[in-house]
Amino acid sequence: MFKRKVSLVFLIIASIMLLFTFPQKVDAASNNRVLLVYDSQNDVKNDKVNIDALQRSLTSMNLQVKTLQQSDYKKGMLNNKYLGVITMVNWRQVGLTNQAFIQDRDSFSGIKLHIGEELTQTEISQLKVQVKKIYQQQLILTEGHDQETLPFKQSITVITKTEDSGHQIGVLSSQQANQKKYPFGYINGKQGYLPFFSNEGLSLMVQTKMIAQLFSRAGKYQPLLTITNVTPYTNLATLDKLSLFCYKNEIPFAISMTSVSENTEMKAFSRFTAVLRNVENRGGIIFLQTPTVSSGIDSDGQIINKNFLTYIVSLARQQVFPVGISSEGFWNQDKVLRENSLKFADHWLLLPNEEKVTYVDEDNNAKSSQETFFGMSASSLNNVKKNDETFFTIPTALTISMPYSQKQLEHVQSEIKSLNLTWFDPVDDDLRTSLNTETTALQYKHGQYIVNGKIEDIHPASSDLNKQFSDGKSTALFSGYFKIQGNILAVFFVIIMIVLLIFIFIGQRIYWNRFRRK
Amino acid sequence: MKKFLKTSFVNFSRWVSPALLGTILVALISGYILFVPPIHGLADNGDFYRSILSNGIYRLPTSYSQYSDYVITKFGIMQYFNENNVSVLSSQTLFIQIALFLNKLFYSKTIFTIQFMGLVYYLFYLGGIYLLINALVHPFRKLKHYFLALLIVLIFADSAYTLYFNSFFAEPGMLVLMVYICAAIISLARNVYSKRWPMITLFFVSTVLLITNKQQNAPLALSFGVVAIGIMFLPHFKARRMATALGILIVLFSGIGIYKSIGSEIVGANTFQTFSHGTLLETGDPTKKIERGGVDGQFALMRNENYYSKDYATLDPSSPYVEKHLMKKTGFGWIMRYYLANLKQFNNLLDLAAKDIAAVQPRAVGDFVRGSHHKPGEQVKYFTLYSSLVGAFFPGKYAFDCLLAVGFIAVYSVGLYLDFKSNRYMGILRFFLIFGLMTIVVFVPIVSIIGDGDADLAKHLFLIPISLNMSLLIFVSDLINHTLWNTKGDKADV
Repeated sequence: MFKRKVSLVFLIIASIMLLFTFPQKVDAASNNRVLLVYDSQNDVKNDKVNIDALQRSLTSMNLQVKTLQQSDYKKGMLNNKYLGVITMVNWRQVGLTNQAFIQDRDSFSGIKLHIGEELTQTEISQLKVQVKKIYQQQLILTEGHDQETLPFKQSITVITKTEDSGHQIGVLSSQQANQKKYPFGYINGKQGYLPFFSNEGLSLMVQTKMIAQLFSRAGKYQPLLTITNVTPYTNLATLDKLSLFCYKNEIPFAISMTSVSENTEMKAFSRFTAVLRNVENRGGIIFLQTPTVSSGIDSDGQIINKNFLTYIVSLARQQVFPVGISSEGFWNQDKVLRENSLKFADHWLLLPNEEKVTYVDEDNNAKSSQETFFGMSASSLNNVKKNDETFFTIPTALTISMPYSQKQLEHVQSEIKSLNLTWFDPVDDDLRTSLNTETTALQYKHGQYIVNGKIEDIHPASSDLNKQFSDGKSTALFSGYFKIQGNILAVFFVIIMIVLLIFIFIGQRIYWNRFRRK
Repeated sequence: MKKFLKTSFVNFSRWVSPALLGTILVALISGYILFVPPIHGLADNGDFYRSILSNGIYRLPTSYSQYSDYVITKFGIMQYFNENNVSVLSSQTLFIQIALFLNKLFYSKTIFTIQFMGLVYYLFYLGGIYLLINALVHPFRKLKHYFLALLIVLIFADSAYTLYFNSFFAEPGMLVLMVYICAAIISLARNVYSKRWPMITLFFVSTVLLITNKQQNAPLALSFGVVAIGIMFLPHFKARRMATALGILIVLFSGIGIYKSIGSEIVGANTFQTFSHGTLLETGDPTKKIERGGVDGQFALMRNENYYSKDYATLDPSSPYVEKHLMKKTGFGWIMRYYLANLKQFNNLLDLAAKDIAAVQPRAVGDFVRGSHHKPGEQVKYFTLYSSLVGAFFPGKYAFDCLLAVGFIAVYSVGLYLDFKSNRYMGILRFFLIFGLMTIVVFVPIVSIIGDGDADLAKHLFLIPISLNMSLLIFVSDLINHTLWNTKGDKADV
């Protein structure tokens, strides 16, 4: 008894010490709400992808972002409950016109970030810089050893004079003979400025770095290699080969896959899950991706909630255990969708929005999770120099779309090899996740899967998928007998038929002959 | 007493013909359900937009869902330029435009009320019913002919059919036109009217309108082409035989035209649903079956999925991926080969169709208006005796339908043979009508299954119960008139 008490006390002390020695990377308990106000979605140039990318990167910094179009802003909305405010001028021709917002922002004492043109005099004086507008330029962005040539810009507001107290992230330089250099991201105390926001490439990396620094959320993360667009209709042989390739090359990876809520009794489904078990056994982790929203009919979220319960139960039954949930960014901006899918998991993977976005109950009031991977396509980093020392400031998933044919597979394999990065390793980097629904509790700890409190061993599937899933027709004991019996009966009836026909023929001859005159 | 009854019947029959009696009864029975508030009709299953938007009618905004639960009575009429070009070419537009005109004349220029739609079909329908009864009983006014008129009322005033009038479905148009087509042919066969050309014109106009009413009606051009062959056998008709041949050509071309007008998106939807609602159904596990046909077995998981998914889709069926890896492979040829290799499954699907023949009243949508103290989606039971009886007792086997068709054709081919020999034409016209109707009964299920699987199956089969009812009525009238095989006795035949 005494021994037990001592060990209990020891355990408590040890766990308290653990808490102090490993502080969390981000202090989630503190205020983490951010207000994002933009001028216009700019549908003409499809620049709403920039808003989506900004929202997702903020979520990955564990910030809860509330997004407003400027016309929806009412006086007093920006208050001390917010840690910071971000102004985004997405469409220069529209610009900021809401005076209530501009006044509230000027007097706001928290962190302030301005993205895009139309800096006001107050902002300029608060940043303590001088700016100027330059026109029709194609600039080069440099950060450390990396360089990227930016797309041609009609006009851009750059900082020409800075203060010693501020610091800059990334350098913009012109391509003219007398090359001029301007800071790209600029931070002065609680004030920050980015001349534009782009949703890809080096600019995106530098932007997130700058924003993370401004909000003191910058960390050091290795990217997670993620295969996206995996569905039950994917070429499973290719998926199996790809996972084997990663395993053999010791590349840890993740897949983001959708599942079905019906027909889970079919062979096609067991074949799908068999390949996914192989993925798990080869060091891959699985994110369960949300389905495509076809209509906003599910206004109370019952359907999507039920779908998710079915996805998870049917997958878990076949020993496929998702570690988190992945979705397009807009799912986090929609109350019904978020509450009935993302909230089940404490690890999210947010991908860029596809072309068609259908909301069920849009609230633009994003929540954050324990850790959210920011999804960006690996190919968007093609022009960025990478090495095994390359780090990201936020948890990042570099995505590669699932190949179909052998040729595409080989292309993807060479792409992965050429990326030459040190990948995030769920086992070595001690990923701990949990996914809880009303019926199922899944946990992932250090490479182990724990289901409802019990550690699960995952049975590998046979290498020959087709062999494993034979037709499955059981041959009944008497089936041969019945078949033979049926044949005998058929022959019997045919004989009777023929005999009858002969009798009829003979009979009618006799009958007619009786009337024939002789 | 007996004498009194007899004299009163004679007096009654002098003033009221069977046709008039039947028409009045249909008018009263269906008029009550359609127009006496609270009115009845069919709620929107989500298809109304196809017919209303191109006609300049839109849904008024409401706080509640306008789908499935209750009949919506009020719609808005667009006041400005309608940018929704005619998405689906259809003769239904004609009916809607008449209703719209009446609505603007008598009710409102901004609000469309569904009763006007019902009124248009209702009036056309009554005319058709009068012609039909007249064609079947003229010139007799015996008690048994009144009985026949009542049988027609029982069948054609059934609420399962008339409820369609207060809706934007295409089916009521098909019902009305079908009644006109049959009435025209029977009138010609029994020589009810002294002039033939009005009925011939009526037949061809109704046929073309029926075929162009809905794109799925395209194959019916063949069935009605067969019916029209009968007209060629009318006597003293040489000059007009050319005109009839031209009419048949127009019917066939209208079928081809409406078939060609099917847009690529609808073709995609049909190709997909033939697969997900057809080849994957009525079988254990289709994974290996479709793999044998060269399609990735994983697509078996799409069983029962709609092209236009109602809520969420694992993989959007209209995505390029599905197009490339599934729909490019499962064309018409593939479907035919698949069903040939899996005849048992195909037979099961046809039985599924046969079961749906009796389901005329769509169960998925409500029949009542909001605020009528009825549950959402509740069904009307008023005057549905005939359709409920058929629903309960008609065997749901495709083989039975085929036997029925063979039976009808066999019975009427005797009349055809006899009339052919004795140079009469009633039996010939009647035979081709029955033959055409039976081709509908036999082939429409096959075309529907191959064309769109079991998606919307009951609605695709809408003409089959009407064809069967018509054949039954013709049969009963021939028994009553003693003209089944011996058309010489028919007094109408001059």
